[in-house]
Amino acid sequence: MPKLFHEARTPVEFRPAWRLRDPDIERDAIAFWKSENLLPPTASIETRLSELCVAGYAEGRIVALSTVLLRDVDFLGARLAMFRCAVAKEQRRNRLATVIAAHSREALEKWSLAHPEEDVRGMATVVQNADLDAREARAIYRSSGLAFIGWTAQDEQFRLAWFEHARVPHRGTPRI
Amino acid sequence: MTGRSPPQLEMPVDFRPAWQQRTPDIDRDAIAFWQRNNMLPPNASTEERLEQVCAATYDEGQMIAIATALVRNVDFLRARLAMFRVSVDRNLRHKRVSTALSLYAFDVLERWSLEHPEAELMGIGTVIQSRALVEHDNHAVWPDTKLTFVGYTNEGYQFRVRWFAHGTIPRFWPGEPGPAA
Repeated sequence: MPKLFHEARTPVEFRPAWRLRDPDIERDAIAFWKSENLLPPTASIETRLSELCVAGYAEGRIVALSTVLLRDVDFLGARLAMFRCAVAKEQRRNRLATVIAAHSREALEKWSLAHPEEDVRGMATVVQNADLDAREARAIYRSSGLAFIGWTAQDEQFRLAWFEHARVPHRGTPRI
Repeated sequence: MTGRSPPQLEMPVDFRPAWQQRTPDIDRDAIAFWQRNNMLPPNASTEERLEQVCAATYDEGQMIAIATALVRNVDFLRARLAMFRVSVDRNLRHKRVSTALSLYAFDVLERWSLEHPEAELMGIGTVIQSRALVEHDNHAVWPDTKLTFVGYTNEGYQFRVRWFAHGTIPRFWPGEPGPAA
């Protein structure tokens, strides 16, 4: 269990899904995406299923779901797990995004440690949620450790939680 | 505040706060420290440097390390940070004095920031210009100081940040005047 500074305001069970290809979670994830209108016609369900990270269950169905896309982030010279999450409409304001982010970070950090060949050094996210995008937002999300490290070209917050074992990739000698 | 004890030092020392205090004793000792370590180039403004002193380490009455901070708006973060440097007497390096003083000074700066919200100081920033430091510990988050790698300067040096616990992302925008110094 991650150290949480905030608990969810509703009872939710979080189940790991990253690289497990659990058929039950995959079935429930598709149902969740459909019920929340999160599956555009062009979306590849197979690709989306391969990105599942953590699922939050309440009363037998998914109410919060995180996905991760591994990506090389040029300005850091590092491979990161780009985190996204969705929360069921009726469950918003229950801090589920905060808590699932913490569970996702923990799951990914353990996986990264067990799979050094994947060279994934942290969990990052671009904050696209209007509620979280407030200009006066905390610089560090305490439960997940996601720290603000800059702005995207679209003026969205870029946040990153390096894994504890992560090193800065070697990038040559500074130009002096 | 910082939530972490200073690392074990190999020598007994004491730390003194100096941020925004300008005590004559610390001013005098700082100048002596800089002169002893050849850290005062001829064109340096001693007065400006003294304004930046935030904490010092003493061993038996002699200043052996000094931390300075220059508050400035960091454009790529649109945040106001204390750009932090620490200097240690040449013969005392590798004794973890630098780390211990850094943690103490961070605490001094964070407390001051909490007491002076009008300054909108949100954290610590530092550019790592010591090759030895980078080669000695290249963790993305340094375990003791929690200074976190957030990117490279134009010259290719590591830029690291430690946000204060109360730090928020300010409204400051590049090109617009920031809060008063």
